[in-house]
Amino acid sequence: MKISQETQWIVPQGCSLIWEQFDNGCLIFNPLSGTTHLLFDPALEILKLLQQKPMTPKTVIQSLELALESEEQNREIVANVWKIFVDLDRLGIIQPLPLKTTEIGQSATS
Amino acid sequence: MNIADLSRGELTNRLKGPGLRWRSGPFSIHLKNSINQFTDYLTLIYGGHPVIEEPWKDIADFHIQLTTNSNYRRFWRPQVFFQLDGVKHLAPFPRDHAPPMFEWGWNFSIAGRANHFLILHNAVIAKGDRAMLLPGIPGSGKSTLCAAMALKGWRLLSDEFALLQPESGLVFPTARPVALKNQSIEIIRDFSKDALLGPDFSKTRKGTVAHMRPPDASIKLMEQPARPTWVVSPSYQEGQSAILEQIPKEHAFLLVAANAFNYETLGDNAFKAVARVVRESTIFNFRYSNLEEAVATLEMMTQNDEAQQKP
Repeated sequence: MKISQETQWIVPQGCSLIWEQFDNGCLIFNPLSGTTHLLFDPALEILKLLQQKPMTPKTVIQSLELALESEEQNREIVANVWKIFVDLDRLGIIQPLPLKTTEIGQSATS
Repeated sequence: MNIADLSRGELTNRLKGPGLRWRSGPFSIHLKNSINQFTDYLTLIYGGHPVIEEPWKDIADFHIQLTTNSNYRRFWRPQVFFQLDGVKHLAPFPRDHAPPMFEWGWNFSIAGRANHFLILHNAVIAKGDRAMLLPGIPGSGKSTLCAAMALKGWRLLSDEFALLQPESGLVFPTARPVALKNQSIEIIRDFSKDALLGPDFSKTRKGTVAHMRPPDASIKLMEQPARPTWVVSPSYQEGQSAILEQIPKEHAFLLVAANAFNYETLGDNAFKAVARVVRESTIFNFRYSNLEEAVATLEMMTQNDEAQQKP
């Protein structure tokens, strides 16, 4: 699957994560893999957003309402959010949403 | 009737014949044995445990048999074998090491079978119904500390396993002996004249091992579970004065879960059980070197904690 900054990500369907929030972090149990993860902000906030609906890194940044002051800062935040997406994907708690048929066709011809 | 109430002859006959059954907290054990030296160990160390008399109505949780060689090896470096349900497990030990073979074999059996509990590799002691869990890697001093606390009047639940029932969140005792290793043996002998230790077994894979008989008061209460209230991760460090440092709960979760034998097997039930322990307990790292000071520090911590709980 081709993955880009435009790809939408989501918590896999049927993955009812179990959350245990403590003062400075949150433990998450993934019943699909049987694994437990300790997450801190901002990864935690991002995961909460992705549990609600599919989002791209850009829409996540908009939802988090991060105050961007410069273009350089903007690039840095996008890169960091992208890295968190990759980490969460590696843990198996989010996945990229497959492109719709038309989009796949467009990707193939572009 | 307790095991110590049986004459040596009667005990030997039972062990060589139909077997001996006794309770150990939530478990019943059925043991057969033909090694004479082991019978003395059983009387000394398990003497306070109640015998389950025939006719046996219930199925025993563990059918254990200690056997020895039937061939020429009976005369040349004889060995002891551990059998669970008639199947040999673990590499054999020299025959005169039957007691450590039995204890490690039984640990192996519990760790592999008792999946109705979340099994944490912890020593556990309790004051009333409030339990202190002592997780720790081998050599951290958890068994030594557990033995010392038990000798100071705390209830011994186990020096090896916290048997955490996911539904209730309670830990169940087994009231089995404390396995002391190497320097800890002399330290505990010196610590209290009430320490009743069995013989030393040298050159085991963990060095020299000796077993401390569980206090009779702990055996009497071995059917009474306790609520995890404190988790103390001990670390023996030479020359270190006793220091308790509270651990953030999110990190404590990993400390507790990492010490479970069957966390993956129990899945979300294990996660919820650990979360409950962490939520409801105060959790510390504990560095110490002097045992008297360590015991006094833990006593003071729990007394202060209890005083704060009172309205």
